Amino acid sequence: MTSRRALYLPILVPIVIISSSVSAQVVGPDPRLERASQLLQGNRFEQGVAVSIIRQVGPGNLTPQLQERLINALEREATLVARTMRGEIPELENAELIAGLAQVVASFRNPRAIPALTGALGNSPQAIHALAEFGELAAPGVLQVIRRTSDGSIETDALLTLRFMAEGVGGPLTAATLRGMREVAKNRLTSSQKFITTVWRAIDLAVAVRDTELRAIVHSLASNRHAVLALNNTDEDLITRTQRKAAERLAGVPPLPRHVTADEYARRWE
Amino acid sequence: MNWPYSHRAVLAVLGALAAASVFLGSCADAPTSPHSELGREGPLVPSILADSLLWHWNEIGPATGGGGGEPACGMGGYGTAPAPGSDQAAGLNAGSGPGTMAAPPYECCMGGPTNQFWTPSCCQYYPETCPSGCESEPVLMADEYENPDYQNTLRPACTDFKTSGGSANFTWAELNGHGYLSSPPYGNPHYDNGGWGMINSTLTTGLEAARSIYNRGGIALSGGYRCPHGNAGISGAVANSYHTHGRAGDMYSAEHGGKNWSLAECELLRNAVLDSNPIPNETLSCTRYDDKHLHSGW
Repeated sequence: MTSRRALYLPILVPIVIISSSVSAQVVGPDPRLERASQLLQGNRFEQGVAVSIIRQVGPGNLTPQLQERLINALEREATLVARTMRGEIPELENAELIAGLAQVVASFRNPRAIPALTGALGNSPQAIHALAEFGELAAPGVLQVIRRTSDGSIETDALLTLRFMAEGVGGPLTAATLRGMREVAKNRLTSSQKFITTVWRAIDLAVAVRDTELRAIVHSLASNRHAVLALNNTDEDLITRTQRKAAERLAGVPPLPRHVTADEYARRWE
Repeated sequence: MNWPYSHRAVLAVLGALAAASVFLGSCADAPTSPHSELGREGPLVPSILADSLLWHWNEIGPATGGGGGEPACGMGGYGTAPAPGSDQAAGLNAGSGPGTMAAPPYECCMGGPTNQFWTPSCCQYYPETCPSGCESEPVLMADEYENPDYQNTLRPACTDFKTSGGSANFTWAELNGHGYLSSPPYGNPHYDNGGWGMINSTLTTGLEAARSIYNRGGIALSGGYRCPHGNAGISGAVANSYHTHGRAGDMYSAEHGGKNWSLAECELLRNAVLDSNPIPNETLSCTRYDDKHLHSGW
């Protein structure tokens, strides 16, 4: 028996090894992703289909090349959306495309995606949470967005992103970034604002940066109804809610929403 | 009794004809409309097959001329049942057995307790051929997702579609019906055929949370579930939209302006959506759409 084993093993073992490697080579790239990659270069309808396919496949199976294409697609889309919002071009078909692209790109944790995700602020909750995780890397771009935009949705999303950063989601921040955050918060709590929601998000940011002067401003809003009226001439309900929010933040009640990690978001794909 | 040979021959022929008629069925009393209530019931298939099956025929295309007439569904002689809708079943293949016919194109609908073969049109006209547990309307709805024209990646089962549901503050009609639309095209015409729709619970949970946080009255939905066909008919709609997954809503404030609400009011609702739990997957800007609705998906 021993001699028989000695005879067969040198023959069988290589066969097993070779067949395993062959079967491994047979498993090639996911054809759905290849199709999605081609569709990404098509029209807006086709790009939307590509995003849906990718959401079905899941975030863990995308090649670097496909990730790059998706980031580029989001950059292009963000530029187009900005032009529609400025009234330069008509409303786009497939308005949800930017949200779908941002949902996918947000999962990459690729710093190369920061400009694209910044461009998606105002149209993607995932962009908010993903940018926050980049911390200092993304902060200057987000500050720039706040300083330039007049769109209420973009502004509140950017303020929310900065609040997450100030809470430490993306790690330590430089003195310059913190200075920028304080400046942005102060501006929105001491001058007339178009939207009361801007004031609310600014209150959250002001408390998060732990600045004495800003804390005093928030205290003023909590205790002085006229201070709120000076920011936004709004109805009694909203004045009351603004004062309540200010008081709650000063008392340590955490604001909504809580931060959601990219991994947690990715688990909620299709 | 010793019958003459000629008599036995006649009897044999008559017997063969009788047997053949069992397979071919009778065309004499076929209804003139192929989409009649029951259609023509074909003959019972012999026990050589797995199930005793009832056959119906269904005209699914325009006449293309030629002779013949109703198909000889349920033809024997194959050993296995031809798949419904197949050329074989319709007898269009040359040499497929007795009763072959040409045009118009028919399909054969096969019914039975263990039917694994069906087509949407068979199910629509002969409900007994539908997959187990489903009526014809949800079968048709599930089939839309398979249509390559709509490029939808979701594959719901027919049992995923319902006729009731909703939540404390969002009715099934609001979530699946016409919404603000007063005339076609509607996002979900199946709602008009028995109230059929499909809503993912994350949508109702998110909407209820947003409504609570918004705390300024109700949320009016201008759009909820859309079937793929309905979605394709809406200008600017995205293929494979979250609406077709029952996970998105288009909304306005019910008590602060409705469709004429202010940007400030929209920002208040949007703010509430962002703060909701579960956190939304999609929330677009208040200035994203010309009609100023707020789109969100969970």
